[in-house]
Amino acid sequence: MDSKIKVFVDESIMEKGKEACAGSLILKGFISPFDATAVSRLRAEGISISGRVPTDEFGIGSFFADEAEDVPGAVKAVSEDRSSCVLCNDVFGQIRRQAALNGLSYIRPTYGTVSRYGLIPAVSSMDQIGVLCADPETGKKLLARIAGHDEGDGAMFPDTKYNYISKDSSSQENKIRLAVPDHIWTESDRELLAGLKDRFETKSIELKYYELYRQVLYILSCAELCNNTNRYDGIKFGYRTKNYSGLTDLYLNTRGEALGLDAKLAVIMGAFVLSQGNYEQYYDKAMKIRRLIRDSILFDDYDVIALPVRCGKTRYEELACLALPALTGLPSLTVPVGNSGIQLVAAGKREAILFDAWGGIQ
Amino acid sequence: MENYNSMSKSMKKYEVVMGLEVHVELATESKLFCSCSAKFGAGANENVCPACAGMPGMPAVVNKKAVELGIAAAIVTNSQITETMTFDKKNYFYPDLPTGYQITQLYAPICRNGWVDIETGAGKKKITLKQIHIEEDAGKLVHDGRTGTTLVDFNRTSVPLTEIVSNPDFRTAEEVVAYLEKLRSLLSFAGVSDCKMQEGSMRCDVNISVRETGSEQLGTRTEIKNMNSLRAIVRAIEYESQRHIEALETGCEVLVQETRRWDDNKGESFSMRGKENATDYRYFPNPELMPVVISEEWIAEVRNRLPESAQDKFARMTEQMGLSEYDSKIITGSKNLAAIFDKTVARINKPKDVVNWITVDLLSIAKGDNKGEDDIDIDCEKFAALISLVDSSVINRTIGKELLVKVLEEKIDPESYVKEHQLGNITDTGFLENLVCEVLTEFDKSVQEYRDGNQKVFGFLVGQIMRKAEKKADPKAVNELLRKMLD
Repeated sequence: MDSKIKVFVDESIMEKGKEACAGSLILKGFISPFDATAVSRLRAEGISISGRVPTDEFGIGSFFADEAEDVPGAVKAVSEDRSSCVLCNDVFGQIRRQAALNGLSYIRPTYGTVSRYGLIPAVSSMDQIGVLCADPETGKKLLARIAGHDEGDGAMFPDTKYNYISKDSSSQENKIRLAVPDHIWTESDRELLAGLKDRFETKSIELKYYELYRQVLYILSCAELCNNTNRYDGIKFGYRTKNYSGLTDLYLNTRGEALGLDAKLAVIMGAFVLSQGNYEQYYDKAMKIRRLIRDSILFDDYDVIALPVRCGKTRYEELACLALPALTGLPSLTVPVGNSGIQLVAAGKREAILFDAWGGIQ
Repeated sequence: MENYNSMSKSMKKYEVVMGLEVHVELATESKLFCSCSAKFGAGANENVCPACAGMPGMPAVVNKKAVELGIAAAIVTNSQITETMTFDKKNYFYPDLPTGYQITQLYAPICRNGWVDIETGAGKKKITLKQIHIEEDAGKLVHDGRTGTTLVDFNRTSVPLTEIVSNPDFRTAEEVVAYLEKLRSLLSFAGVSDCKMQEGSMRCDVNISVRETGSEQLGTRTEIKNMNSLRAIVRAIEYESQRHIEALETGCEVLVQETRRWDDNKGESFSMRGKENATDYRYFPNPELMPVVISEEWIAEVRNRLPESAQDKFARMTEQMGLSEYDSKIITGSKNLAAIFDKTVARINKPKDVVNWITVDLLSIAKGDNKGEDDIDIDCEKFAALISLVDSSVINRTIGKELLVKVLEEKIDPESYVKEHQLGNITDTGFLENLVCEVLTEFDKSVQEYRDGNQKVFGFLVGQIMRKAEKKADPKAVNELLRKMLD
């Protein structure tokens, strides 16, 4: 039955012979010379790719837009055909949020467990292929097939297989201990929590440095986006301006014409935070805070953190509540609850307990 | 530097202060972050894959062998190896850099604080090293004058390099040359790199400034980039230090801190584009690569596998094999000659003979072909067989020399070639005696001279006999026979 799963990939995941544009005009006409490891591993199991769904340019979306968030192409695709799944790279959280708000789930596995070979890089230290699906059961089966060490990615754990399916050892015997950072739940979403207290041993925690999450996410992601888009210079592949005389012209016009507004903002911000005199003040400081954030999440007297999927009015404000997995590399499962959703976060490589917790929520 | 002092019109004395950045290509089979071949000399863009062509979707993966060669470089330069080294990204746009960034090491390079001993006419000196880091090479731009376009070759892209950064410890061009030769010896014997300047696998940037002798403060520094011959380096240092002194003396030119290019044809240095000096490379830690932990065990493993150094080999040759210091120095001056020596001695255990054949015959043939010591390519099995044929008097040395050329050029097998062409020494004594008699009759005047006490004529007579024998006589046998018949 598995081979009947309809799997889509977003435009940042490469399939040999297909255009892979990561939502950007600058990669128009770039034909993948190889398959992403995620794709080839599915193919090896007899699961073919049913098609490609559009994505925001490099998955950035629109940091500063005031208008309501667009529903990402991946969410539309699974909403239309609830038996399908989409492999995509959700760094900033809009796919997870919109998935939950549209009755779907998203699994973002532990950083370094699914190969990024064949994923067009956006924010290398946060990029992680995940699965969007209606039923997390389907998602975890798919994930089990694509996860595991790959020679083609230099920042992976050495484990060759991950067991997402069997119950987590600790949750078999004990009740899952759920941590709820009350301070970030809005009034309207707080009612989702009410039912959880019966099913889980819950405790209230405070997320340290939470007020810095989105700034750190923003600084680091802009820096890495800036660097990762350097290769799009109009020289070798993808878009090239027709209007140039000389090299600098070629660079400026190619990038000027083919990068979108948000990508440009990210490039400018990234160049700013990495430049001499700013590096220590912005990039280096953000890296230090990122480490503090990582070290502050202990999982000592709780197993799973329950986070809301909404926390602000603008996109920039909304970055905060879903930033934790990208900043720390921790795995997360986002599920719809009521008319909103919950993002569950567990310790590294403990995806299994997320699925167990989801079982408790249902 | 007396010559500079004498040029100073105001009778001030100047001191030249230099630091070196030496780029050495690591002798790996494959590139630093992908599996493409790193070999020199392939056709344009033959050693290229999506990763080193800068396509997205192929994360960098560190070549472990390159790290090991870096560790070896650290060991032979007495450096302190970093426990956890990291890679950084250096951002700039240029068509020979397909990703728009170079992966290098700024924050935690593979090692720091090493040193190298050098020896010049002025004596021994310790050159201290700031650090060694590993980085990837860039591609090559080729300007096509016919069409007016510029083409790019990515074969060198991502080929692993180490950059060896010295402190400003150099005062003379002679020290610089001694240092570069020492580095070449250390690194090539350790198998880190073949260090071929003409192929670009060893390149050098010189940072140079001039100050009044006795001054503590350094002068304005200029950097001359990318030089790849010792001769050019010496000339560039002489030119550039003179330029600095003249600027200080006359005040006509204001020295600025800048990067310069050496034009060896014109014999001048030129300021490179001003932007180069103003570039902000926006270095930051490479998030694609995990930090590399270099354990004590790993270092020990590399240390145990290190081949014999030139210094140890020299000691072994002079102390254990009884070879002269002069010959041993020639052999250990080149990794290639040392390898030829070792391989040949392994087959015919006569070090003295092998050294003679290398230093006298092999090197003169190479010199005649305009080849350097590192370019000699010889099948050591055949070389050993040839030496053995001469040693056991099957052929004489003159024929042996001729055959050596054929071994090098035509790859002949000496033993079968000697049989096939009947080049073996004449062993029939009756026949030889006849030849000697013929010569004695033909050159009776010379015979008389010899009997009158002119010893020199003896050699002439031997030569005549050898000629008659078409060189196929054993000179020792001819000597003995001639002496017997004359006395």
